[in-house]
Amino acid sequence: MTTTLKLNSIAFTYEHQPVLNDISLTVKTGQIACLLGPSGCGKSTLLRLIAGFEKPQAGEIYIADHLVANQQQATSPQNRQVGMLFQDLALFPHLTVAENITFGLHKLNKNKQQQRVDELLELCCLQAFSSRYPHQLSGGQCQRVALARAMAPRPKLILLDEPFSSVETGLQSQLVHEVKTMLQADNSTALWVTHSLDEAFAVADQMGVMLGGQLLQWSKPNKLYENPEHPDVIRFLNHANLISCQINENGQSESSLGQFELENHQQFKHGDQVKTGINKRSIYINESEAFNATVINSVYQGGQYLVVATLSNGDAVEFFNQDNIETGHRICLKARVNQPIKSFKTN
Amino acid sequence: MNQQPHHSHKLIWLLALFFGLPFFALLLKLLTPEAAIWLHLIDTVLPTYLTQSLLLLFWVAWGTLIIGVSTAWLIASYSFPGHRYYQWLLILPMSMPAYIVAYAFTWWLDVAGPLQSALRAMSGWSFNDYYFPNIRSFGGAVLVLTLVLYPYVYLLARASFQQQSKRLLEAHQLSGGKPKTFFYRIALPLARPAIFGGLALVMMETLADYGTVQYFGVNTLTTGILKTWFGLASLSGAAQIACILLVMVILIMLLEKVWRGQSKYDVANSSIQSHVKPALSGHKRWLASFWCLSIITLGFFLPLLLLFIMALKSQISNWWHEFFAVTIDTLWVAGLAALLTVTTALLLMYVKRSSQQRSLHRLIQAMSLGYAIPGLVIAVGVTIAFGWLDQVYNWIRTYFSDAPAALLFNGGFLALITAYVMRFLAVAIQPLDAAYQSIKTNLDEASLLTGKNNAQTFRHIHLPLLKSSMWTAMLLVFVDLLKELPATLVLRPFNFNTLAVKAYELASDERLADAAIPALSIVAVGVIPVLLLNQRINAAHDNNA
Repeated sequence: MTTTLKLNSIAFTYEHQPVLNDISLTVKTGQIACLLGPSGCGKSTLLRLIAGFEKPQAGEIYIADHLVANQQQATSPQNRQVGMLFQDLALFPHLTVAENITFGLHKLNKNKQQQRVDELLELCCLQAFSSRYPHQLSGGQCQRVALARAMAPRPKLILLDEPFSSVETGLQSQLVHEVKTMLQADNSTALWVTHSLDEAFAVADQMGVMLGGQLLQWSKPNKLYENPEHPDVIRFLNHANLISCQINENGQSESSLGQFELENHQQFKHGDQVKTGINKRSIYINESEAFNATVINSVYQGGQYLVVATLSNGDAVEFFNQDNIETGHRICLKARVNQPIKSFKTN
Repeated sequence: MNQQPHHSHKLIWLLALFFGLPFFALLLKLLTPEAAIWLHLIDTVLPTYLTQSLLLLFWVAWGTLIIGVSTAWLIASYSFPGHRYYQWLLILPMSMPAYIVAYAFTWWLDVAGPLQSALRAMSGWSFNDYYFPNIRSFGGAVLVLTLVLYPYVYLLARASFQQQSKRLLEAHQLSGGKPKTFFYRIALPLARPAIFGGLALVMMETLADYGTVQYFGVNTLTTGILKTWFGLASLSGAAQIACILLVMVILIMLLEKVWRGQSKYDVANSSIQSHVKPALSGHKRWLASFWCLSIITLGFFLPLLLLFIMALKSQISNWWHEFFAVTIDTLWVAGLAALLTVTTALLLMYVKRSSQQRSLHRLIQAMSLGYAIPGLVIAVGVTIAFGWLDQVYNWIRTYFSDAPAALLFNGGFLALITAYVMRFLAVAIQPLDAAYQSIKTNLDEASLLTGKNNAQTFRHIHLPLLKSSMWTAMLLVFVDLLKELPATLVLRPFNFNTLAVKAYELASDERLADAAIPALSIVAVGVIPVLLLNQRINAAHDNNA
């Protein structure tokens, strides 16, 4: 597999404020990669750097093995062969659907243009709307036109900047599926930026979490979920608890929830205080042992309850339970972990 | 943006240098005054010019404030007979150049005019048997300027009143306030920034006026400039008076900022105007209706009617060919200048959009201040600056050939059109700026990413989306050019007349009836943008509601 996008230690500051710090990642040809992060984390800025609207202060950007930007020089956006699906779509209001899609095809002759437009209209199920203007289309149709326009010149890379943030929730999953299918059908490589976990897990072949201008992890989605490499990734995904533990003489992480084998035990020595990420689904109530937790809240989540309890050391623990537990109830919690997990040094 | 159109940036600096030259010239004249002329002016006429200008400002400001705010409040808050029509009819006086109203009123109220003649015929009195106010006076100038300038206050105050939420009135009543005090305690203070904004425009227009004050024999700074320039043949003296005028304009701009203060209230919210306006009761409704009707009649319908009657009495058959020629001249010069103005504005707005350089943005802002500066001040500056350029030109010319000295810059269309563009650039900038801001920058980015360059993006995305605003800008500038009098009067080439200058000349020759023909032509075209403006305000209002 060849590499379509490679970022090497990208840094960017805006008005003396660091926005991006040491970002490195690669996207393989044909992959859909997803950058996940809360708003303001710098992910849209990263897209603008890749598109060429901004210039990095450090690092290099390669698109299809060509250096397009470093500290000294930058290829202009029009020469990067990058397509972009903008957050607000940025459809040209004075052009019809077909004209919008044709807009970037000026290098092809008329026949080839028509051929490509027809191909995309079919792919996006827009044949019936080719002569309509953007304001005459539904939100979902506009989305497809914008994607078709971005895909039309067969760019090396398509950037998607929170494409569904303004779409109502019910429609989102359907649109996400549509866009993914279209991208795959056209064999496109894409870098997709979103703050929605569902969206990211639905489309990503490769995935990363960005926080405060840093890329915390860049890996396969299942690895990101099962093996987060940074406590903030756990906090952002919100699928596990960070529990205060101590390293015992066997190199295990130990707390009142139990003892856990560590994947990264060599980083610690006996007696170290650590935070260990334990999946909410691994925690259960053990009725035979002494109480170690007090329930402080219980919320019905359809079929099960999400229970919040505090451990005697003050850590809050979330877990799922079939039955409601009253607030103030004392319980004993344990965790069942089948494979080595990660711990992080406490600051 | 990464790709900067550097050439257009250089062009902007060059343009700014060119447009800045006249002001530099004025400044230099101020810093190096010719003491003799200056002292002579101070000893003799300058105090009069200054006090007359200030008094005129004071009274016109009060007049427009009372008329503008009262009509705006009535229209925005109440329903009364005819209020739907008055709402837009009240804007119409804006289309009347003040000097034209002055001619019409003079013709009507003069000793030999129809009103006094009828009075004498009815009463049997003869001239001097009775007192009749003289319109060609200071008071007349205040009246005429007030009647045509109040719409600035009216428009801005009305918009502000209409944006104020009904909730404010309800909150006022719930906290025990009487409906009557709402105007003084809530509505008026909230509308203050808008009212002062309108008032500042009124004051700038008053200071810039030449036609009216000259015709009525009021010695203001503008008439002073021309008297000193042509009467005393002292361009330096004229430049110094122009500087005083310029300082006053700058003071008004600063004053407006101070008045406005921090109070940039944003009172608009979703409940704008969703309420039905209460109807005025009993005699109040007729009083309100009468007040609005009187204003509109005096500011628009009466002068228009008078102009028609005057036109019927004119000897147009004697100079029909000349009128035709003047019209053609006016149209092509105004058309050309409008085209150049809009092109310049387009360039400025394109650079403003594509550049993040603060210095460039400030420069563009400074270049759009021309509208605040009286045409005569610009004319004096252009004449001095172009005089220098002509000197340089002739120095080079005589160095390389034996050709006699000639004027390249001054005395021709170059000076006239330069002054026009400087003065009316802001008029073109306004609609273009608004239109550009409504085109999101990611449309440009989307275009660039498809491989189009900046020029192609401008042609395929910006131009089509700006088209209607460019037409609006053309129209607005064109109409302002038609009305422009003082700068044209001084800078026009020999044997070149515009409709405005022709009207002025005929009126000065006491051929008022003949002056009505070019005057009517100006008014006829001038009404179009006012109606257009009204339509746009209504559309914006409907969108909000």
